[in-house]
Amino acid sequence: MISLPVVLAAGAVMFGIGLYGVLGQTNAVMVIMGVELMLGAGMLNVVGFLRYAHPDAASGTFFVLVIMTLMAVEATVGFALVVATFRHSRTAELDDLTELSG
Amino acid sequence: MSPAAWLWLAVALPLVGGLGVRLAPRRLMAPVAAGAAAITLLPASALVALAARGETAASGGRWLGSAGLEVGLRLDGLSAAMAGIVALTGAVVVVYATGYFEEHPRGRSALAGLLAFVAAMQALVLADGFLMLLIAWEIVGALSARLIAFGRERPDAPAGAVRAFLTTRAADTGLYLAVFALWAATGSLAFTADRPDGALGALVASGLLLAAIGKSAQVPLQSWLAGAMAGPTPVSALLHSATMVAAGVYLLARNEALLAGWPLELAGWIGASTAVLGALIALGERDLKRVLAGSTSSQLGLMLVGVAAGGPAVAVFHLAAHAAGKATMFLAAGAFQHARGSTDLEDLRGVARAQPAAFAAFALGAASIAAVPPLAAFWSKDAIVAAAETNPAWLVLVLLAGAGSAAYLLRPALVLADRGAITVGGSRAGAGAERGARQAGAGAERREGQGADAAPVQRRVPPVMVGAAAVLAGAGVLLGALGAPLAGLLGAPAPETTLVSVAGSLLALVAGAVVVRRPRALAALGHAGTAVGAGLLRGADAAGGAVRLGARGVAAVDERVAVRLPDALARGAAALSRGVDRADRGGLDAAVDGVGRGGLLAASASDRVERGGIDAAVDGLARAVGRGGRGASAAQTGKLHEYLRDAVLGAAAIALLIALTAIT
Repeated sequence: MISLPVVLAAGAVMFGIGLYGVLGQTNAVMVIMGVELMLGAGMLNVVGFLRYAHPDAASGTFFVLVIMTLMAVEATVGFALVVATFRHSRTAELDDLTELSG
Repeated sequence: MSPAAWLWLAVALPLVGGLGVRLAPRRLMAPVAAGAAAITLLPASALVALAARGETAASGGRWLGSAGLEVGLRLDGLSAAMAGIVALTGAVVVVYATGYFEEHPRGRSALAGLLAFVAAMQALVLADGFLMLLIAWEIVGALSARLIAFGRERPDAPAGAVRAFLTTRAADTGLYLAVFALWAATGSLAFTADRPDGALGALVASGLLLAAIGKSAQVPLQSWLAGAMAGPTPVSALLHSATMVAAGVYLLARNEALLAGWPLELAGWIGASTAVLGALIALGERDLKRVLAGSTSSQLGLMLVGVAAGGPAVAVFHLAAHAAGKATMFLAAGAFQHARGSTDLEDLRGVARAQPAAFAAFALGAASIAAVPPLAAFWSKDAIVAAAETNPAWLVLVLLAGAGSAAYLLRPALVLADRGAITVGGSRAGAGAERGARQAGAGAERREGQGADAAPVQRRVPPVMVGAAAVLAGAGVLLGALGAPLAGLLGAPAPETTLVSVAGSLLALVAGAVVVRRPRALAALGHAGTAVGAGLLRGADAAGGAVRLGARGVAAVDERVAVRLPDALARGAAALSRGVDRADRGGLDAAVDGVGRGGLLAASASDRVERGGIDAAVDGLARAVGRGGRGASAAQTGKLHEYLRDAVLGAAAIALLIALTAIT
C-alpha cells in the first residue's frame, strides 16, 4: 500500500502544475486543463486522506464520484464557452479578450 | 344605498372627476368636467334627503390603526346642508369654468383643481371629528393658494397667493393648537360639546376662533381675500366667496356648543366689526372683484354674528343665501371680464349694454345680497337682525353693514349700467379691452373698432358662462323660501322675522341706497332699472321703453330734489372708506409682508446652514464615493489572468489565515 506522504506529494505536484497552467498559460483551453489538473490533485488528496483515516467508509468513494462529475461538467461548460468565444472573436487567447475592462 | 356609501361618494366622485379631467384629451375637457360636476349633485342631494328624514350616520376607521385617531365622515343636518351648498355652487361654477377656461392652454389643470377642491370641501363639511377636519382644512388651503396663483402671467397672482397662504397658514396654527389641546385634555379628537376646563379649554376655544377668523377673512386678517382676487374668476366665485371662506363660519357653527360663552361672544364682536369694516373697504375699492371681496368679508362677519346670536341655523341660512348671491355676482363679473378683459370698474363702465343677461344676473345677485325683499339674503339677513336684537351694539353694527351693502353694491351696478359709456367712455373701455386682449393672449377673437368713437371691443363670452350665472341667480331667488326647511334640517326653530327687523333691514337698505351717490343716487337707480329692464325685456321693446321713460321721469324729479345732506354724508363715507382701505393696504398688508420677509430671512439663514454644513458633508461623501468607485474600476482590467491571480492570492490569504488560527 502506498503511504500517505507519497500520495500527498503526487497531489501537490499535480496541483502545482495545474496552478501553473491556470496562471501561466495564455490559451483558454490550457487554463481549463490547468483547472482540471488542480481538481484532480484535490481528488487525489481526498482519496489519500480517506484511505488513511477511514479505510472502511464508503462515503469517501461517493465524494470522489461527485468531484469527477463536477470536473466533467466544468470541462463541458468551459470548452463550450471557449468554442463560443472563438467563433465570436476568432481567438482563444485570454489577453485579447478584454471586453469586461472597467 | 347606505348613508355611508353616499357619504364617501360625495367625496370620491368629484375627486375621480378631477382625475378624469386631467387625463382626458383636451377636446373632452368640458363634457368630462361638466359631467363630473353634475354627478356630484347626486350624493349631495341624497344626503340632504336622508338628513331631512332625520337620519344620521357616521362612517370611518382608525388613522394608521391608532386608537383615538379616527378619521371618517358623518351625516347630520349641518353637514348635509353644507354638502348641498358646496355641491350646488361647485357644480354651477365648474360648468361655468368650462366656458371660462375654454381657450386657456392650461384649462384642464384649472378644472381639475376646482373639482379636487369640491372633493376636499365635501370632506371638510362632512368630516366626523377634528382629525378629518384638519386634513381637509389643509388640502383646501393648499388648493386655494394653488388656484389663486393659477394665472401666473399676472404678477399679482403669485403675490396674492403667497399672501393668502401666509395669512391663512398663520391662522391655521390655531386649529392645530386647538386640536393638540383637545387631545391633551380628553385623549380624543371627536367633535364634542364640552369644553375642557382651565387653560386647555381656553386654548381650544381661542385656537378655533383664530382658525375661523383667518379662513373667513375676518378682522384683523381680512386683507388676504382682496389679494386672492388675482385668481381666476371661477376660483374667486367658488373658493373665495361661496364655500372655502365659509369654512370658518362652518367651524364655529359645528362647534357652537363647544364655544358657548365668551368665545362666541368674541366671535360676534369680530363678526360685527368685520361686517362694517368690510363694507367700508368695499366702498373704497376700484376693482369689481375687490369690491365683491370686501363684501364677502362683510357678509361672513354677519354670519359670525348669526352664529353668536342666533345659532348655526341662522348663520347657515345666510351662508346659503350669500353663496348663491355672491357667486352669481362673481360669475357675472367673469362674463364682463371676458367681454372687456379687465375687472377694473372704469374699464367695465357701461358693459351692461353688451352683456344684458349677465348684468341681469348680477343685478339679481346684488339685490339679494343688498337684502332687497323678497330675495334670499333679505330673509337670512333679517334672521340675523332679529337674532342680534339681544345685543344693541351688534344690532347697530349689523344695520350699518346692511346699509353699507346696499351702497357698495349699488355703486358698481351703476357704473356697469352707465349708459354714457359708448360716447364718453369709448376710448377708456377700448384701452381696457386692449389690455385684456394682451393678457388673454392668442386665441382671443376680437373685432377691431372703426373710427374715433369705436365701439367697445367685443370678445366672445361663452353662453355657458351666462347660463351658469343665470341658474345661480335663480337659485338665489328660490332660496328665500328655504329658511324654515333649513332650520328644520339643523333642528332649530324657524328663523324669526319680527316687525323691527324687517323695518330695520329696509331702512338700512334705503339709507345705503340714498347715501351711495350724492343726489344722483335715485337717478342712477333709475338707470340701473332701465338697464335691468332692457336686459330682461329685450324682446318686448315697448315695455322696455316704458320702463326707460319712467326711470327718466324719476331721474328728472330727483335731479331737482338735490339735497346737500346725502352729499356730505357720501363724501364722509367715501373719505372714511378710503382711509380704512389705505390702513388695510398699508398697516395690515405691511404686517403680513413683514411676516413674509421674516420667513424669507429665516429661510435664507437655514439655506446658508444647509449649504455650509449639510450640503458640504453630503457633497464630500459623494466625492469620496466617486473616487472609490473610480479606483475600484481600475481593477476591472478585463484581463482574465489578473482575475485569476487575484483569486489565487485571495485563496492563499484565506489558507494562511486558517493555518495561523489552527496553530494557535
